[in-house]
Amino acid sequence: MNSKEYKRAQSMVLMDKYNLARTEFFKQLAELASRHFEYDGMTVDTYNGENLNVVITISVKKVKQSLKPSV
Amino acid sequence: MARKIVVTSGKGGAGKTTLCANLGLALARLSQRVLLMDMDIGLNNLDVVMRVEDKVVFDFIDVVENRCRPSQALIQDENEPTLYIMPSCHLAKRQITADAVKKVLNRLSEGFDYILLDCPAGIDIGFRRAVNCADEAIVVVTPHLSGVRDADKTITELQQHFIGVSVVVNRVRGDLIAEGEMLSPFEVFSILGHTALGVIPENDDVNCNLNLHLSRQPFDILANNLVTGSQDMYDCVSRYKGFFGRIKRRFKRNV
Repeated sequence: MNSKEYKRAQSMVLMDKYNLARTEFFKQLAELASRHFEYDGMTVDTYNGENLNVVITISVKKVKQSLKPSV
Repeated sequence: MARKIVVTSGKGGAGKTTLCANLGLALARLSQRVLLMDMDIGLNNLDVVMRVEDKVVFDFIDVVENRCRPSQALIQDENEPTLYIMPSCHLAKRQITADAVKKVLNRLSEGFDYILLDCPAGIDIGFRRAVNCADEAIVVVTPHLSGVRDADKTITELQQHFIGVSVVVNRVRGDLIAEGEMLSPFEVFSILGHTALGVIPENDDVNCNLNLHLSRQPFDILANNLVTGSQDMYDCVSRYKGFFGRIKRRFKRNV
Protein backbone atom coordinates (compact mmCIF):
# COMPACT_ATOMS: atom_id res chain seq x y z
CA MET A 1 0.00 0.00 0.00
CA ASN A 2 1.35 3.40 -0.92
CA SER A 3 1.61 6.22 1.62
CA LYS A 4 -0.68 9.25 1.50
CA GLU A 5 2.04 11.43 -0.02
CA TYR A 6 3.27 9.02 -2.72
CA LYS A 7 1.02 10.23 -5.55
CA ARG A 8 1.73 13.87 -4.74
CA ALA A 9 5.49 13.30 -4.63
CA GLN A 10 5.36 11.36 -7.89
CA SER A 11 3.32 14.00 -9.68
CA MET A 12 5.68 16.71 -8.40
CA VAL A 13 8.65 14.92 -9.95
CA LEU A 14 6.70 14.35 -13.18
CA MET A 15 5.83 18.03 -13.32
CA ASP A 16 9.36 19.24 -12.57
CA LYS A 17 11.21 16.80 -14.77
CA TYR A 18 8.98 16.34 -17.77
CA ASN A 19 6.81 19.45 -17.46
CA LEU A 20 3.88 17.08 -17.30
CA ALA A 21 0.60 18.10 -15.67
CA ARG A 22 -0.45 14.89 -13.98
CA THR A 23 -4.24 15.32 -14.05
CA GLU A 24 -4.31 16.36 -17.69
CA PHE A 25 -1.80 13.63 -18.61
CA PHE A 26 -3.90 10.91 -16.94
CA LYS A 27 -7.08 12.25 -18.54
CA GLN A 28 -5.57 12.08 -22.01
CA LEU A 29 -3.96 8.72 -21.29
CA ALA A 30 -7.28 7.31 -20.07
CA GLU A 31 -9.01 8.60 -23.24
CA LEU A 32 -6.36 7.04 -25.44
CA ALA A 33 -6.46 3.72 -23.56
CA SER A 34 -10.27 3.53 -23.58
CA ARG A 35 -10.23 3.95 -27.38
CA HIS A 36 -8.33 0.68 -27.71
CA PHE A 37 -8.92 -1.34 -24.53
CA GLU A 38 -11.40 -2.25 -21.84
CA TYR A 39 -9.26 -2.09 -18.71
CA ASP A 40 -9.38 -2.51 -14.91
CA GLY A 41 -6.73 0.02 -13.94
CA MET A 42 -3.61 1.85 -14.87
CA THR A 43 -0.38 2.87 -13.10
CA VAL A 44 2.33 5.29 -14.13
CA ASP A 45 5.83 5.01 -12.65
CA THR A 46 8.86 7.20 -13.20
CA TYR A 47 12.15 5.56 -14.08
CA ASN A 48 15.55 7.08 -14.70
CA GLY A 49 16.84 5.00 -17.57
CA GLU A 50 18.85 6.11 -20.58
CA ASN A 51 15.96 5.66 -23.00
CA LEU A 52 13.09 5.02 -20.62
CA ASN A 53 11.62 7.56 -18.18
CA VAL A 54 7.99 6.68 -17.66
CA VAL A 55 6.53 3.17 -17.36
CA ILE A 56 2.78 2.88 -18.02
CA THR A 57 1.10 -0.35 -16.93
CA ILE A 58 -2.48 -1.04 -18.06
CA SER A 59 -4.46 -3.98 -16.76
CA VAL A 60 -6.33 -4.89 -19.96
CA LYS A 61 -9.57 -6.93 -19.85
CA LYS A 62 -10.35 -6.86 -23.53
CA VAL A 63 -8.75 -5.41 -26.65
CA LYS A 64 -11.27 -3.45 -28.73
CA GLN A 65 -11.80 -4.23 -32.38
CA SER A 66 -10.05 -1.01 -33.45
CA LEU A 67 -6.64 -2.38 -32.42
CA LYS A 68 -7.06 -5.88 -33.85
CA PRO A 69 -5.44 -6.47 -37.22
CA SER A 70 -7.90 -6.43 -40.09
CA VAL A 71 -8.16 -9.73 -41.96
CA MET B 1 43.49 5.30 -5.98
CA ALA B 2 40.72 6.34 -3.64
CA ARG B 3 37.04 6.36 -4.55
CA LYS B 4 36.07 10.02 -4.36
CA ILE B 5 32.45 10.30 -3.27
CA VAL B 6 30.55 13.53 -2.76
CA VAL B 7 27.79 13.43 -0.12
CA THR B 8 25.14 15.89 -1.21
CA SER B 9 21.41 16.58 -0.99
CA GLY B 10 20.59 20.03 -2.26
CA LYS B 11 18.30 20.62 0.68
CA GLY B 12 19.72 21.80 4.00
CA GLY B 13 19.15 19.70 7.11
CA ALA B 14 18.94 16.40 5.25
CA GLY B 15 21.83 15.01 7.28
CA LYS B 16 24.77 15.23 4.87
CA THR B 17 27.41 15.96 7.50
CA THR B 18 26.05 13.47 10.04
CA LEU B 19 25.84 10.77 7.37
CA CYS B 20 29.31 11.63 6.05
CA ALA B 21 30.83 11.31 9.55
CA ASN B 22 29.06 8.09 10.48
CA LEU B 23 29.61 6.47 7.09
CA GLY B 24 33.32 7.35 7.43
CA LEU B 25 33.41 5.66 10.82
CA ALA B 26 31.59 2.59 9.50
CA LEU B 27 34.00 2.30 6.55
CA ALA B 28 36.96 2.64 8.93
CA ARG B 29 35.49 -0.20 11.03
CA LEU B 30 35.68 -2.29 7.85
CA SER B 31 39.45 -1.51 7.82
CA GLN B 32 39.13 0.94 4.94
CA ARG B 33 41.41 3.99 4.90
CA VAL B 34 39.02 6.94 4.88
CA LEU B 35 39.40 10.70 4.51
CA LEU B 36 36.47 12.97 5.37
CA MET B 37 36.86 16.31 3.65
CA ASP B 38 34.71 19.30 4.52
CA MET B 39 33.96 21.14 1.27
CA ASP B 40 31.59 23.59 2.92
CA ILE B 41 33.45 26.90 3.12
CA GLY B 42 31.65 29.21 5.51
CA LEU B 43 29.17 26.82 7.12
CA ASN B 44 31.70 24.13 8.01
CA ASN B 45 30.57 21.69 10.67
CA LEU B 46 32.28 18.38 9.97
CA ASP B 47 34.95 19.17 12.59
CA VAL B 48 32.21 19.74 15.18
CA VAL B 49 30.37 16.53 14.33
CA MET B 50 33.66 14.61 14.47
CA ARG B 51 34.55 16.40 17.73
CA VAL B 52 37.92 17.64 16.52
CA GLU B 53 37.20 21.39 16.42
CA ASP B 54 39.85 21.96 19.12
CA LYS B 55 42.52 20.17 17.10
CA VAL B 56 42.27 22.24 13.92
CA VAL B 57 45.56 24.00 13.10
CA PHE B 58 45.47 24.00 9.29
CA ASP B 59 42.45 23.52 7.04
CA PHE B 60 41.92 22.57 3.43
CA ILE B 61 42.06 26.22 2.29
CA ASP B 62 45.59 26.41 3.75
CA VAL B 63 46.48 23.31 1.72
CA VAL B 64 44.94 24.67 -1.49
CA GLU B 65 46.78 27.98 -1.04
CA ASN B 66 50.09 26.20 -0.27
CA ARG B 67 50.46 27.42 3.30
CA CYS B 68 50.98 23.85 4.48
CA ARG B 69 51.37 20.29 3.22
CA PRO B 70 48.20 18.14 2.91
CA SER B 71 49.39 15.83 5.70
CA GLN B 72 49.64 18.80 8.10
CA ALA B 73 45.94 19.53 7.74
CA LEU B 74 44.83 15.96 8.43
CA ILE B 75 43.43 15.10 11.84
CA GLN B 76 43.39 11.45 12.86
CA ASP B 77 40.25 10.15 14.59
CA GLU B 78 40.77 9.09 18.20
CA ASN B 79 38.92 5.81 17.91
CA GLU B 80 39.53 4.69 14.33
CA PRO B 81 43.18 4.96 13.30
CA THR B 82 42.38 4.63 9.57
CA LEU B 83 39.99 7.60 9.63
CA TYR B 84 41.24 11.14 8.95
CA ILE B 85 39.43 14.47 8.77
CA MET B 86 40.39 17.50 6.73
CA PRO B 87 38.44 20.47 8.08
CA SER B 88 37.32 23.57 6.22
CA CYS B 89 37.32 27.19 7.37
CA HIS B 90 34.88 30.04 7.90
CA LEU B 91 35.95 32.08 4.91
CA ALA B 92 38.32 31.98 1.96
CA LYS B 93 39.92 35.24 0.90
CA ARG B 94 40.33 34.10 -2.69
CA GLN B 95 38.11 32.04 -4.94
CA ILE B 96 38.89 28.33 -4.54
CA THR B 97 38.62 26.56 -7.88
CA ALA B 98 37.68 22.95 -8.44
CA ASP B 99 41.01 22.37 -10.22
CA ALA B 100 42.97 23.50 -7.17
CA VAL B 101 40.95 21.14 -4.93
CA LYS B 102 41.38 18.32 -7.47
CA LYS B 103 45.17 18.71 -7.29
CA VAL B 104 45.07 18.33 -3.49
CA LEU B 105 42.76 15.32 -3.76
CA ASN B 106 45.02 13.65 -6.31
CA ARG B 107 47.98 14.07 -3.97
CA LEU B 108 46.00 12.48 -1.14
CA SER B 109 44.33 9.83 -3.26
CA GLU B 110 47.14 7.24 -3.03
CA GLY B 111 46.94 7.08 0.75
CA PHE B 112 43.22 6.35 1.07
CA ASP B 113 40.58 3.89 -0.09
CA TYR B 114 37.68 6.35 0.26
CA ILE B 115 37.54 10.14 0.21
CA LEU B 116 34.12 11.42 1.31
CA LEU B 117 33.43 15.04 0.36
CA ASP B 118 30.90 16.79 2.56
CA CYS B 119 29.09 19.06 0.12
CA PRO B 120 27.40 22.37 1.09
CA ALA B 121 23.62 22.70 0.78
CA GLY B 122 22.22 24.20 -2.42
CA ILE B 123 23.24 23.68 -6.04
CA ASP B 124 25.40 26.74 -6.58
CA ILE B 125 29.17 27.26 -6.77
CA GLY B 126 30.07 25.28 -3.62
CA PHE B 127 28.05 22.32 -4.85
CA ARG B 128 29.64 22.43 -8.31
CA ARG B 129 33.14 22.68 -6.83
CA ALA B 130 32.56 19.57 -4.70
CA VAL B 131 30.88 17.63 -7.52
CA ASN B 132 33.66 18.45 -10.00
CA CYS B 133 36.16 16.75 -7.69
CA ALA B 134 34.18 13.52 -7.25
CA ASP B 135 33.74 10.31 -9.24
CA GLU B 136 30.52 9.26 -7.51
CA ALA B 137 27.72 10.91 -5.54
CA ILE B 138 25.59 9.87 -2.61
CA VAL B 139 22.36 11.87 -2.52
CA VAL B 140 20.93 12.10 0.99
CA VAL B 141 17.17 12.54 0.91
CA THR B 142 14.61 12.86 3.69
CA PRO B 143 11.27 11.13 3.07
CA HIS B 144 9.35 14.40 2.78
CA LEU B 145 7.88 16.05 -0.29
CA SER B 146 10.37 18.95 -0.16
CA GLY B 147 13.26 16.52 0.33
CA VAL B 148 12.25 14.37 -2.65
CA ARG B 149 11.74 17.37 -4.90
CA ASP B 150 15.14 18.88 -4.02
CA ALA B 151 16.84 15.50 -4.37
CA ASP B 152 15.34 15.07 -7.84
CA LYS B 153 16.67 18.48 -8.91
CA THR B 154 20.08 17.66 -7.40
CA ILE B 155 20.19 14.36 -9.29
CA THR B 156 19.36 16.19 -12.53
CA GLU B 157 22.34 18.52 -11.85
CA LEU B 158 24.58 15.54 -11.03
CA GLN B 159 23.65 13.79 -14.27
CA GLN B 160 25.06 16.77 -16.16
CA HIS B 161 28.43 16.05 -14.50
CA PHE B 162 28.25 12.39 -15.62
CA ILE B 163 28.93 10.89 -12.21
CA GLY B 164 27.29 7.79 -10.73
CA VAL B 165 24.46 8.54 -8.31
CA SER B 166 23.18 6.44 -5.43
CA VAL B 167 20.49 7.41 -2.95
CA VAL B 168 20.33 7.16 0.85
CA VAL B 169 17.03 7.86 2.59
CA ASN B 170 17.77 9.50 5.92
CA ARG B 171 15.64 10.36 8.97
CA VAL B 172 13.14 7.58 8.31
CA ARG B 173 10.36 7.18 10.91
CA GLY B 174 9.14 3.58 10.96
CA ASP B 175 6.06 4.46 13.02
CA LEU B 176 4.85 7.04 10.46
CA ILE B 177 5.52 4.67 7.56
CA ALA B 178 3.49 1.94 9.30
CA GLU B 179 0.63 4.49 9.61
CA GLY B 180 1.00 5.35 5.90
CA GLU B 181 1.76 8.97 6.74
CA MET B 182 5.36 9.11 5.57
CA LEU B 183 6.87 8.12 2.24
CA SER B 184 8.57 4.75 2.64
CA PRO B 185 12.22 4.48 1.51
CA PHE B 186 11.12 2.21 -1.34
CA GLU B 187 8.63 4.81 -2.58
CA VAL B 188 11.44 7.39 -2.52
CA PHE B 189 13.75 5.04 -4.43
CA SER B 190 10.95 4.37 -6.92
CA ILE B 191 10.29 8.09 -7.50
CA LEU B 192 13.96 9.05 -7.81
CA GLY B 193 14.79 5.95 -9.84
CA HIS B 194 18.48 5.61 -8.94
CA THR B 195 20.61 3.00 -7.17
CA ALA B 196 19.36 2.47 -3.62
CA LEU B 197 22.31 2.53 -1.23
CA GLY B 198 20.75 2.58 2.22
CA VAL B 199 18.14 3.56 4.77
CA ILE B 200 18.96 5.44 7.98
CA PRO B 201 16.29 5.83 10.70
CA GLU B 202 15.58 9.10 12.51
CA ASN B 203 17.67 9.16 15.67
CA ASP B 204 17.05 11.41 18.67
CA ASP B 205 20.74 11.25 19.61
CA VAL B 206 21.48 13.69 16.78
CA ASN B 207 19.42 16.31 18.60
CA CYS B 208 21.29 15.62 21.87
CA ASN B 209 24.71 16.48 20.41
CA LEU B 210 25.68 12.83 20.30
CA ASN B 211 26.12 13.01 16.56
CA LEU B 212 28.75 10.32 16.41
CA HIS B 213 28.45 6.66 17.26
CA LEU B 214 24.72 6.60 16.63
CA SER B 215 23.09 3.21 16.34
CA ARG B 216 25.81 1.49 14.31
CA GLN B 217 23.82 -1.09 12.39
CA PRO B 218 22.26 1.12 9.67
CA PHE B 219 25.63 2.72 8.90
CA ASP B 220 27.42 -0.64 8.93
CA ILE B 221 24.88 -1.94 6.37
CA LEU B 222 25.37 1.24 4.32
CA ALA B 223 29.17 0.92 4.40
CA ASN B 224 28.96 -2.74 3.46
CA ASN B 225 26.69 -1.87 0.50
CA LEU B 226 29.19 0.76 -0.63
CA VAL B 227 32.18 -1.61 -0.39
CA THR B 228 30.60 -4.78 -1.75
CA GLY B 229 27.92 -3.36 -4.05
CA SER B 230 25.14 -5.28 -2.28
CA GLN B 231 21.75 -3.67 -1.65
CA ASP B 232 20.79 -4.68 1.89
CA MET B 233 18.38 -2.28 3.57
CA TYR B 234 17.92 -1.58 7.27
CA ASP B 235 14.37 -2.41 8.35
CA CYS B 236 12.82 0.55 10.19
CA VAL B 237 9.19 -0.55 9.97
CA SER B 238 8.69 -4.12 11.21
CA ARG B 239 9.06 -3.18 14.89
CA TYR B 240 6.01 -0.92 14.49
CA LYS B 241 3.78 -3.62 13.02
CA GLY B 242 1.40 -5.94 14.87
CA PHE B 243 -0.32 -5.43 18.24
CA PHE B 244 2.75 -4.30 20.21
CA GLY B 245 3.89 -2.26 17.23
CA ARG B 246 0.60 -0.34 17.34
CA ILE B 247 1.21 0.50 21.03
CA LYS B 248 4.77 1.62 20.25
CA ARG B 249 3.45 3.80 17.43
CA ARG B 250 0.97 5.50 19.73
CA PHE B 251 3.63 6.22 22.38
CA LYS B 252 6.11 7.50 19.82
CA ARG B 253 3.52 9.73 18.18
CA ASN B 254 2.31 11.26 21.43
CA VAL B 255 5.80 11.90 22.73
